[in-house]
Amino acid sequence: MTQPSALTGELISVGGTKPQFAAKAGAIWLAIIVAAAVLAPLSPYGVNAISVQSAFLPVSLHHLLGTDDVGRDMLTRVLYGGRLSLLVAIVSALVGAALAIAVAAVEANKNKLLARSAQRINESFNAFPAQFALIVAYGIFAFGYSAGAGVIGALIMGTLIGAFSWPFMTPIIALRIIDFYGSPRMNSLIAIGAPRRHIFFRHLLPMVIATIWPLLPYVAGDALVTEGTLSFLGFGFQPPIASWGTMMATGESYIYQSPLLIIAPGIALAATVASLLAIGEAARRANS
Amino acid sequence: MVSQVAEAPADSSAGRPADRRAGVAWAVRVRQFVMATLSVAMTLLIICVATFGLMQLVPGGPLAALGGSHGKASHQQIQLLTHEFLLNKPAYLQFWAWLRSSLQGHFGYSLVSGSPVAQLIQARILPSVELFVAIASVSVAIAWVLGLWLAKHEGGWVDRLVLSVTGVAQGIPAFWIGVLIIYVLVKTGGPSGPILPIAGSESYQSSGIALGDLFSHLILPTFVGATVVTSYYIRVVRDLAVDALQDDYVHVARAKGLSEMRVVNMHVGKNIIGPLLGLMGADLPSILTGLVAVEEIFSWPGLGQLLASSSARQDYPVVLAITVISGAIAIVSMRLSRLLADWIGTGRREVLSARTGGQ
Amino acid sequence: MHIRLVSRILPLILLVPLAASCSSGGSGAQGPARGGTVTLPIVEDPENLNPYLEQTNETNLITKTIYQDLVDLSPTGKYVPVLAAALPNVSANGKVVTWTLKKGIRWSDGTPFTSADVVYTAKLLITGLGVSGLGWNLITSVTAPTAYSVRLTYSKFDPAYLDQFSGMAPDGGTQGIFSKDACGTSGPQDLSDLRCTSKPVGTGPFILSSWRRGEAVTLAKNRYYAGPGPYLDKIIFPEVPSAFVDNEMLQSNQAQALWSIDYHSVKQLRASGATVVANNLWASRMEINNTQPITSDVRVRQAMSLALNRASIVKYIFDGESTPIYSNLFSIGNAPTGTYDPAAAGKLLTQAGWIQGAKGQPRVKDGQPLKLNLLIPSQSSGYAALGQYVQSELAAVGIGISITVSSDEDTRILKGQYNLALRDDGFVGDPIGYMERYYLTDSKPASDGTWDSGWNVDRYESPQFDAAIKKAQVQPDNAKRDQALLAANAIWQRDMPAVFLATYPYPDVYSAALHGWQPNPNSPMTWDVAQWYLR
Repeated sequence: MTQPSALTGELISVGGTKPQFAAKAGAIWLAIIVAAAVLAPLSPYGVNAISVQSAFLPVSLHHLLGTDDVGRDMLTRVLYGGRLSLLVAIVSALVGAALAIAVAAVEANKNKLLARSAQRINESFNAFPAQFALIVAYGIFAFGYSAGAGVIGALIMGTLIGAFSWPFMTPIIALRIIDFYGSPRMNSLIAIGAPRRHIFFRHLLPMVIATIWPLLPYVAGDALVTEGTLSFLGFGFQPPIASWGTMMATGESYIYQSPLLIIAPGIALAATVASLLAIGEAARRANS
Repeated sequence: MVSQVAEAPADSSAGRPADRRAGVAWAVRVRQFVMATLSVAMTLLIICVATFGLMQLVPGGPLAALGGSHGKASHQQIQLLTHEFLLNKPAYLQFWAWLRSSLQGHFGYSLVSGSPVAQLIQARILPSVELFVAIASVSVAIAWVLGLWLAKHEGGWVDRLVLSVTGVAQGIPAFWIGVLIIYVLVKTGGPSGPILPIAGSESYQSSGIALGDLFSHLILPTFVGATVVTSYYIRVVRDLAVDALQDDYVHVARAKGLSEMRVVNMHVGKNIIGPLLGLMGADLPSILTGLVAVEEIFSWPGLGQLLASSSARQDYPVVLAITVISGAIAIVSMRLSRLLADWIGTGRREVLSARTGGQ
Repeated sequence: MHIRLVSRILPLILLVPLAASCSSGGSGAQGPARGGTVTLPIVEDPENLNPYLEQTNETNLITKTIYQDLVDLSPTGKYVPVLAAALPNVSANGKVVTWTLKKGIRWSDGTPFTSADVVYTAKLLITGLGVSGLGWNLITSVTAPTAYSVRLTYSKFDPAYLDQFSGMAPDGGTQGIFSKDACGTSGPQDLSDLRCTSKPVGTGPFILSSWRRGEAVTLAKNRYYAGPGPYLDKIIFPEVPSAFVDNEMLQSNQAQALWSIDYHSVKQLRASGATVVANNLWASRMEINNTQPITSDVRVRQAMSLALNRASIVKYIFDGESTPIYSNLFSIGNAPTGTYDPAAAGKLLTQAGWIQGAKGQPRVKDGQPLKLNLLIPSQSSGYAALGQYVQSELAAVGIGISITVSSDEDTRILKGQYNLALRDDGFVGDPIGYMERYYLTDSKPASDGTWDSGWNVDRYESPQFDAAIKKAQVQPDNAKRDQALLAANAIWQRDMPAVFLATYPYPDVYSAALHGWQPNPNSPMTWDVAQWYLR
């Protein structure tokens, strides 16, 4: 995760070539990988169907990406791994968005003390060495990570990553909220006596969501890399569970038998993260 | 929107360019300094509380390892620790005891070895700094040169190629490139070995510090650590420069008859250094934590490796100290980078301001 | 996780291939070359270099080059004198043991080695560490009649009198004789306060030259070493966390030896010209919690053993680097065997009332499905594969297995919070001590989650087995004791409290450039580092 968390791009004004092509290619790849992950159970092979006699089979028509150390179909594993990794990404984006909005709402508060406290919390989390905290969290949630065939683990890990992903989004949203309160639109809404609930749900919330969504692909991309790194280092999911991170960890052990074991999940991960970043960039440009 | 960010939720900490130009009175500066220090202290306190709280969640508490299979502490040591860190008292008292002694540079003892945590950490700081400085300087230098060049040749085939390559490279996990590079280098190196050392920070052949030896060991970890950051910064510099080339002062400079090279390098390039350095400071937390994987792969004896091995051994005092110290380094560097960017005096501090929590 | 026991007999069966592989020693016509540096990567930085404080295998690897003991266990299981001039004299009643020491040995600080140092070290173990294993608690006095002799008096004959000073027993033997003057005479109350903890002074071939935490421990030639050797100038133990990088370093001659590697890379390393020696002393097995409702039925345990194909495990999981095993007695001459018969396993389960329903579903008894949880240690790809293999083979006979990966497996099995668990453990020599501590009824671990009160994590209870072991304990004749042990083992195999699978290979690697070494299954690979040389 030597990823500088993307955000800066958001604030740098846009010039030059439009990244339309990259975004389109990214969207197509993302659609494919999501669809394939969802449809993974249609694979003729089970994700854990081991057959030690057919370990390390090369790429063939039967096994498009060959087989792994205990004879499981690699393509099936990569798709199932995608399910968990993508679930982590989605959960972390949602949790991150929710936290960012919540803290932004306080930061935009007229009460200076509240607003400043929120800023301090924001700054602390921004400076917090998130991956360190996630490594520590392994000591706490190790069992959770392998619960429910990894699904519960993915929810836990996604929540944890999300809990550290929000700080860069908060100031942007807070600004928008402040702007909104001082805008002529708000004044006219108050003038015509619009109910607060109406203002909140019909005007403020859609505006906040429109602001935040172009940032979420960055959070999701970061979460994918974080999952991979944690699991690779042994502080995330553990081997029998298929995630891109665990598959790369296993792949490292068997690199002499078949380098594809580490290459395939790595490429799936890198392509998905790159797609997310491209989509985020395009959305950001479209928004500005 | 960009300009709005600068006016983000009011806080009076760091000096604004506008204030500087106005030549503010001493009193105001002192007040600003005090406020800034207070807010940094506040932030640090929050980090400490959060980290300490996290440790409390570890099964059995932060001293679980004392009784576990990893624990080497004697009964006397346990008593001593219990006494010194009030381990049998409520959590808030423990926090207070820990905070008080940490402020004096005493972070307790490793549960595994019994050595003072400060001593363990001290030995690891220099290697981490070496690697960080190498990654930072390489990526800033490459990004600056290449980014400017791309902006000048915007839309050309090189521009498009680099954009595609960096677009993909941004998403590659560092450890993955690390493993594959080692694999390929050793495979191609044959019996004479890879062209570069793949592990450690020196060859231990001489007793003194051999700079050449250090540099040769730095190359691979730096390359791997810098790939993602550099890809990203190239894009940032390029975008900034493309944007700046549209600015009025560039037109003025061109109108004055300055050569295009001079315009780009001197005027545009100079204006980009500030935000770039600032960005680097702002990204420090993520780059710092990203070093865990790089240090593990390349056996680099830094803080990240210590954190990973201490976590695996449930040596929580060490983990606690590293987390808090990194947080402190990050927060200070973020603040300093903003000041630096201000001082270099570009008009783009808003970039940083949004990054660092919007003051 | 790995606990070794030392004893008298050695598994001769293992030594034939080992002896054959020692060919590299002394094969050169012109004798050992001098000079050079050997790099031997270790996974984790040792915490300190006091072998009594820190008893990880890695620390032993390093301290074995600094310290020596009175005797060593040779590769063939014989006791060879090291600091002792000869094996000791034992009085007729067996209660007084007199050691004579070599003369002319010097510590690395130049001072002479004398009996006072041996007395000091023995007292360190008895009073400082309070070691009771191996009969240390039987010792009533330790004296030094002359500068080169040591007399130990025991309250009764202690069959482990040699093991006590063999350096091979983390479980209670000396881990190197300490220098009385270099360590401090204040009395070994707190081991970490000993001066030699930070500044080791030994009689071994190397001395600590520099130690950068987290980076490398560097040792240099000890000029006072009695010889022959050492031939190397330096030996470096760098910390390399990634096993993959270890392998790459060896292949590219950045490392000359590797210790206890992952067996997946054996073929690759052999192809690069290195010699790989797998010490098959570690038994991988599936512990069964015998007190759980389902697994308390011996038929279920037997069925699991019948359903697991050891030959496949060896071939496919352990890359052929291991041997199938069926009980604790895998290392004695005529090791007991077992059978692989899934059909019989199915019949046993049906007899036990577990009825096979739909294909691929777990069997059912009284509406309850036959489902068990299998605990496997984290951070080991070998166990991940083995765990899944076990899962699929047991599923085939109708036993549903869910896998939990755990980083604190030991604690959970010690506390009895598990159904099934994969782990491995090894011992050197006589298996009796091992069988006592693992399977006697009163060896059940206390609830404190430590190994102190006994290792019977399966919670096996059999008065018959206990009685059979008691018989073996009093049998002084080795051959007869093997017979007694086999009789006890027959009871054990009938009850099948755990399922033994295959030896777990932890191979050591010597690069093609390294010569003079001799593998020793009883000792860390650095035991003969004085003889190593590079060419």
